[in-house]
Amino acid sequence: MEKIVSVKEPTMHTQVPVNIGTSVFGLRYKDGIMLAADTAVSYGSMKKSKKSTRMASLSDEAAIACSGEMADFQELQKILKEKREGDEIENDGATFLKPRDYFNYPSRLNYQRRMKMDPLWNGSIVGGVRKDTGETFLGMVDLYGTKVEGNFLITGLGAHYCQVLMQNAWRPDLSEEEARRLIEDCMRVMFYRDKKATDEIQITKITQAGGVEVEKSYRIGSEWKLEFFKNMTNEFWRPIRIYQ
Amino acid sequence: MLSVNYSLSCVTFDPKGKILQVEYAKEAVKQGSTSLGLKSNDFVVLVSLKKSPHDLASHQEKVFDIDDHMGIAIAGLTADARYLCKFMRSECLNYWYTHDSHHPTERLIGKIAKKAQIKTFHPAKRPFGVGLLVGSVDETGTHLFESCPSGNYYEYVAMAIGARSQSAKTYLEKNFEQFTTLSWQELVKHGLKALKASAQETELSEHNVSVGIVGKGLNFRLLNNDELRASIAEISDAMDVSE
Repeated sequence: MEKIVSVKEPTMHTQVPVNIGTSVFGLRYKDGIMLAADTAVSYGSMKKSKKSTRMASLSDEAAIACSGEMADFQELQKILKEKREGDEIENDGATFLKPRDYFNYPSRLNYQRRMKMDPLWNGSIVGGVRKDTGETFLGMVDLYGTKVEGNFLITGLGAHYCQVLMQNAWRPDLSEEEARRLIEDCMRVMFYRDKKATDEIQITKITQAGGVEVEKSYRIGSEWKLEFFKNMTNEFWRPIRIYQ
Repeated sequence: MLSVNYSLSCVTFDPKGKILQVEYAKEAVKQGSTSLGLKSNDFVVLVSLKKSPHDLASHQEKVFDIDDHMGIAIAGLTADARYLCKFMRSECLNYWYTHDSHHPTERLIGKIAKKAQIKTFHPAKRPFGVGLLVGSVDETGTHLFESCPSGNYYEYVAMAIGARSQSAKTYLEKNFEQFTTLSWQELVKHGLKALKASAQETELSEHNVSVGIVGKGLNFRLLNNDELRASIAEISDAMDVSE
């Protein structure tokens, strides 16, 4: 009888994301960069956790916020932490890794992993403000390694729901309060429309003076007693009303 | 004791505590024609005297472009230099690809030193027979490094290596204190004067001199023939008057 030879397949981890974080936001404002994400991690339609942190500081001038597979985000965090330690352990008078480096590296990493058919299933936003020059940086990387830089960036479903809202409200001279209010508005929209979103959000500020400040999460209020919800005037719901 | 007993490979010290193959490799650097480098706060200049193996042959290039922010001048075995040059270029390119920024200078010199050191303790290897002067600009300012066949590296404000480099060193020692604020044009002049001291009877011309410059906001490049001719003419006139 012919011997059955087992063919070893290449290691492939995330073919389908399992524990998912939804949209993250990043925008430039007057003092620097603001990153925002809600704290939900979903397992399919179930909220597996409502108290997860989906952002991390990468150095004293850069931070990352991540949507998509949370295990892959943890992997990325580990890799970037080692990267930073490698930079610091050289101890040669400067840290050479700047926000742009922390942005480009995940991009090349994601591209490599996608070519191995073993992607890191993340949409990440990297923001930073250089301590020496005050130059701000905001960039977005997707799971294919595509790099996008901009003044306001959104990943995931938020890119469809909040793009126009951001376009209309964003100005380069937004104050911190205005930027926060804009992000809260976006997050509220996401809470209403995205089943994987929650009303508890977390913000990271990066400024030249203050460095990276990862804030505590807090709840944004939501209002469901609107005419809109009562009457179900949305075209989308019309067929369902027949049953009522 | 015959020194030949200790000089056949790098694995044996001689009774004086030296590794003779490494000493000979350093000697190979001294056989090469002079290369020198000098830097100010904003610029680094590399100057080399090129040799031609034969009247009918062209001159062997001694200053190489590594990246936008870095160049090298060499003295010693050109073949070894080209190998290291290729290594440095690919390291810079890889760094740029993964980080979207320039390779930090000292870390690259460290990589070269590591390569050079491996060749000083392995029985089946020989040390590099080349000294490099690396001129570069990065986050921490301008840099001039010398890398040695022994695996050591040093940082300088001005340095000369190769045959008869002592005369150039003497010139640089006399003048280095005024370098800090100079423009690259003035650094080139000092470099050429120092080279002239080492060149002795050889007449400097655009054919046998190479000059590389790099600075803050200035990508590394070699001076072209017209610029070289002009600079050499300038220092020849000045030398006639002052010395």
